[in-house]
Amino acid sequence: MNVDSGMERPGVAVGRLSEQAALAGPRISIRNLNFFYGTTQALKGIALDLPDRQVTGMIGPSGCGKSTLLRVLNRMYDLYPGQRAAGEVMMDGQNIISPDVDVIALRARIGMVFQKPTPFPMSIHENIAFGVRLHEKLSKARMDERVEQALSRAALWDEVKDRLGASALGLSGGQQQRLVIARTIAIRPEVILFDEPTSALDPISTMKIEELIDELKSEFTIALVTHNMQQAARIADQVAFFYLGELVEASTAAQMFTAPREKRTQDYITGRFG
Amino acid sequence: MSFRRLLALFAGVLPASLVAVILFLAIYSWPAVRFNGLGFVARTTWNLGNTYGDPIVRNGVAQLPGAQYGILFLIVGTLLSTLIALLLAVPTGVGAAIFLAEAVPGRLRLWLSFLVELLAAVPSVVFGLWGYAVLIPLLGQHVFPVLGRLLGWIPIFAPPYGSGYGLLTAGIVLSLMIVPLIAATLRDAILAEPMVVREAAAALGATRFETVWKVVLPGVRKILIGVTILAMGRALGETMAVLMVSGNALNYLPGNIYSPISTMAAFIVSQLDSALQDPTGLAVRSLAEVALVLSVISVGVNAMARLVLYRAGLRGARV
Repeated sequence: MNVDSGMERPGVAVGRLSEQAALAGPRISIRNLNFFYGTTQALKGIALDLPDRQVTGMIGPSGCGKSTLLRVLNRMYDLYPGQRAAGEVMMDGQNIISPDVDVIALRARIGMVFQKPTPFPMSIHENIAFGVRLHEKLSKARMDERVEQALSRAALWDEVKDRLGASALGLSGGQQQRLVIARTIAIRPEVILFDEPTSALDPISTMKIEELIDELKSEFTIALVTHNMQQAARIADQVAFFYLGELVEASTAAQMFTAPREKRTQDYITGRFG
Repeated sequence: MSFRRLLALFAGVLPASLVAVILFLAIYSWPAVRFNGLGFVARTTWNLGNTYGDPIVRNGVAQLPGAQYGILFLIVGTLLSTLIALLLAVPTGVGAAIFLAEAVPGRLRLWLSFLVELLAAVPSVVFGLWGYAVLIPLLGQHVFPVLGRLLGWIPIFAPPYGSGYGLLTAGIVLSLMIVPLIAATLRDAILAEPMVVREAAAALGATRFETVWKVVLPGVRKILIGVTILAMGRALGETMAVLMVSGNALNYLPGNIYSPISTMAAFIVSQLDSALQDPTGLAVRSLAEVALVLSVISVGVNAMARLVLYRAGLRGARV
């Protein structure tokens, strides 16, 4: 939960406390996290908990740092020299941004789904098996089983079971995104990061993905960056509002959208900017 | 004449000249085609006949007594030297492309890429001279015997080693000439693969090598196939460098990988002078028939490459 307790209006605080009970204990605890693109600071002193097996929605205008935060959580920024993070991101007693963390193993525990569907240029089956093979050696039968499980879990099995050998590039955008989700859960992570997973999709596909995320939270801790306030309201348990690299406020979705504490939050969610 | 028509004329000259060249070769070599028949591509004898004898006319074609033309040894030499060149150049080119695209930081990449492309600008006669002066003594005296000792249990690598002129030497020189084409085209294709796909692979826990090898390369597979065929076209038609290092075998099928060979393109150059000794002109026209066979093969291979590259979405492939 947000530890920022600056200037709360008394009436709201009561409501917030009552809602707080709905949030589970933290799976990941972020404290005093700073992030730099070269010399530009993109995250400033972030403190946030991701409650276990719940959805944390991250909202805020473009450039506010919400996607940057996701990329810290799975160390994606490691791919780019010149980007660096400082502070604490604790998961199971380990600071995951410390240099001695095994990034490969970390990414097996924290999966990520991107804005644009990213099927690999191979068959549907291979798309799933590829990720699994990076971490486990399975017999063919067990791999097939794992692929089926993952595709079923991502609500895609019925649509593709007769063409597992066909190229994944031939699927529709919504199907591709569910394939990417299947690929991610096939590795059996504990946390899944979604970076605007529906912004490139049509409304029907968006609905399917939202239903899927809602269902996945029984098993996974989820962080969801979204530009769509309704989406955050529909599927997030906790909502965090970012602005100019700072976490302005984080609270339960109910509180955030009915009685935000900060004026900047209120201005943003009522559409005054962003 | 309107400007548009003028442009159409200029544009029309190009396809017209392709048709004109093939047509010329077909017409010019026609007496040879009639004389040689289908056996032309199946025989291994290139014999002008008795150049001191009186020409005779048979089936309406003037010829020297004893003349017989077959180019099987040239076809074999051309195909084998091209095959060796591709076997050496494709892995090297793929490796270089991955290195340039993935492992080298920006500024250094620019310089290295520049050098790779300059390699393509070296005139083939320079490669030939280098092959003659450096490669042949090196290979013939030092490398071939070692190769024979290590791989001699495979018949094609067994002795005799010859002089250094031959099939493997020609293949090596050819591979040097086509590596830049493969490396540069593939490097551009790898760089054009979207970053988000690499990130997606990394997000699953793939290492950089696994990402490139299993995700990026499959994405550029069609371009690799296309540029390989394009390189094949280049190797099939390469003349001067091959002429200088192949050993100019005549009427001889290679017995092992060190054997002297000749290729269709090199043979046309090396035989033109002696073909002019044939007063009936049949030898020159038979050389034109060699050129016709080579052109049909080369144009066909190139057309295939263009088609593959076009389908792969790479419109402006280098020649």
